[in-house]
Amino acid sequence: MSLLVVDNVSVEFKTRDGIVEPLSGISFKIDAGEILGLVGETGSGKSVTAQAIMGLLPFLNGRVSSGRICFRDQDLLAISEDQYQKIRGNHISLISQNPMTSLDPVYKVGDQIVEGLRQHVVIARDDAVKRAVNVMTSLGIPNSEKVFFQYPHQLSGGLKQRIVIAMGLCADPHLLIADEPTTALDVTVQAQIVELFRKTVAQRNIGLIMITHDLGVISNLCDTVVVMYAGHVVEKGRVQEVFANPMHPYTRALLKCIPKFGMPERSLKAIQGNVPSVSTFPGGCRYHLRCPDMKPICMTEAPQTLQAGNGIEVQCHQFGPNWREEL
Amino acid sequence: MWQFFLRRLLLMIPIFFVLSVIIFSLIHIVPGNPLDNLMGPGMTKAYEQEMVKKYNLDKPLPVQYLKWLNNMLHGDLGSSIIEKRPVTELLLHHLPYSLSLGLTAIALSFVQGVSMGIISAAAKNTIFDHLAMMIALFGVTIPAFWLGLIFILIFAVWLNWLPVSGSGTLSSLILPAVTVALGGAGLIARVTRVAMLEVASKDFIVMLHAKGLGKKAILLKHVLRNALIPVITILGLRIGWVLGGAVTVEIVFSRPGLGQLLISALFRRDYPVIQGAMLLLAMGIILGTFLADMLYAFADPRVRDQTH
Repeated sequence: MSLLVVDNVSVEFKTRDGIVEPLSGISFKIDAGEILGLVGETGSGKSVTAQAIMGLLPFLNGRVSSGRICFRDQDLLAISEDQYQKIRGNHISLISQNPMTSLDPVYKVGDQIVEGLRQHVVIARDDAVKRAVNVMTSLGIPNSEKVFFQYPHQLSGGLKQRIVIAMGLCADPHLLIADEPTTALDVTVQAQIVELFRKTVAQRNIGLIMITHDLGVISNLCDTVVVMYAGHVVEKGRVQEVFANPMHPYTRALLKCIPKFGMPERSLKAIQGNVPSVSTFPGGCRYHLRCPDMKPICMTEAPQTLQAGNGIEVQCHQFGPNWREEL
Repeated sequence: MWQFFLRRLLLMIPIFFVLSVIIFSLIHIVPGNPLDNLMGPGMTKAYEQEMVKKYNLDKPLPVQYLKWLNNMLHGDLGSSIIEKRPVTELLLHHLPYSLSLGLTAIALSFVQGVSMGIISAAAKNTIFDHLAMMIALFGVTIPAFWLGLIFILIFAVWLNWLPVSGSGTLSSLILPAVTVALGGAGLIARVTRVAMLEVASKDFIVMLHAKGLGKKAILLKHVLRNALIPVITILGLRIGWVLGGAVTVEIVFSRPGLGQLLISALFRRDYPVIQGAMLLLAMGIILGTFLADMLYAFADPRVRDQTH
């Protein structure tokens, strides 16, 4: 039994200019004790994936238009809002992307951690406070007892980010979704947090979906990686395999964008162009506009997901039957 | 917090002095003179001279001002030229009528306005929202004196539930208080609605959903709590306003409030009374704003930490 199965999920948002589809038929799954990295540029649909799993889309004018999301064999798309409330923040926790705006400005940060905890766990206030302070300390927050009683505007970005992480860790989730949790932190704290995630997953045998565009974090922390581009999963597999032998041109390009120590000057690459916005996703393969290996078929036909060796799945015509070098 | 409190408190002193200068000058710019009203046929020239001397009307204005200020700081606002009674006594006689009406109206408008705002925001774009906002618009735009007359007609004359006018009993307070409150309630309802909808669109609200909180808890504990911050500002402005601004309603319901006192004193150019009453109303506005600032700091931790 997989902890979470995301099966062919598409998401729609109602906007002023009509309906847009930022996610089209994405699939992946994660087991207990596994760390899955969700990687892609801004606008690739990583955060929307997290919102879909958390059931937050209705509050954002969106909905899952097709597909299935199963958490411990329970179909999350079929349950009522009341049932979902018992899962959110309890069995599945989200660590949000933007710590600067994720906290209520008029309540003390400690109370905001305790609020989420006591929503789901029957625990005396004093014990909840103790537990929150312990989690805060384990996240490297100095003077946790004092910080507990401070307001969000009194804390630095890095501290706020750790408060948001503490909110996610304080309950006992089976699945943790961390949406770029280390972006506001300096490198030493980042390493510390990554280590804490690794320990938490091992100790509690939970699943962790790590959303990031930091490939260093992925290679360092994750077991599997899902590469997203413009609302599609273009490649997924074990981290070692994908990083050793990237198949999709986008994955290859991403890996070339990592600076390495001692590399010659001017050899650092950037991918030409930008991720298209959701209303201008191109037809055919959505990456064809930026792809160096583009062939005519890429403009007209969307590629199927193909099983490659080593358990890698890739969505690219190059590995399909219709690819001919001479075209 | 204490620093904030002290700073605001000390700030009231210069404001008070500036106000006293403005009030004093304004009255003396207005043409006319209290003696014209006092002097009837048969009054002697000598009596006029005596009056002029008694009330210092022959001294230059700055001297008059300093004398007034000096006496005021000693708790003496002079005495009415027309009624021959100490101004403080007059003010103290009329103040309770204004205070009871003003405070009741404020409390009513806050409760009614915030409730309507919550309903509107929670049921956005439904019939309840439109209905509440129509009542709010009605309250803001209908002149209070007309509304007061209509209320008298319906509830006092036709239904005979409440007294037409007067000021002695609690039941006589209901109609004027509701009349004054309706305008404020409309304003507060609209501000509450807009503020709540704005807060509801913030990122942290989505995170509260992600924590598994229910809609009701989010609405009342987080959305409303944040939305009350701008509402408090409006409330503070209304506190000062209702004390003096309810003049028309006081007249309609024949309540001997400060507004009544001020208007009659103005017609008779009764300088000491005008000055005293205006000073008291101005103090009401300053105090109201101060109170709002304190509430504001209480409601918003970010304001408490402001250092300027």
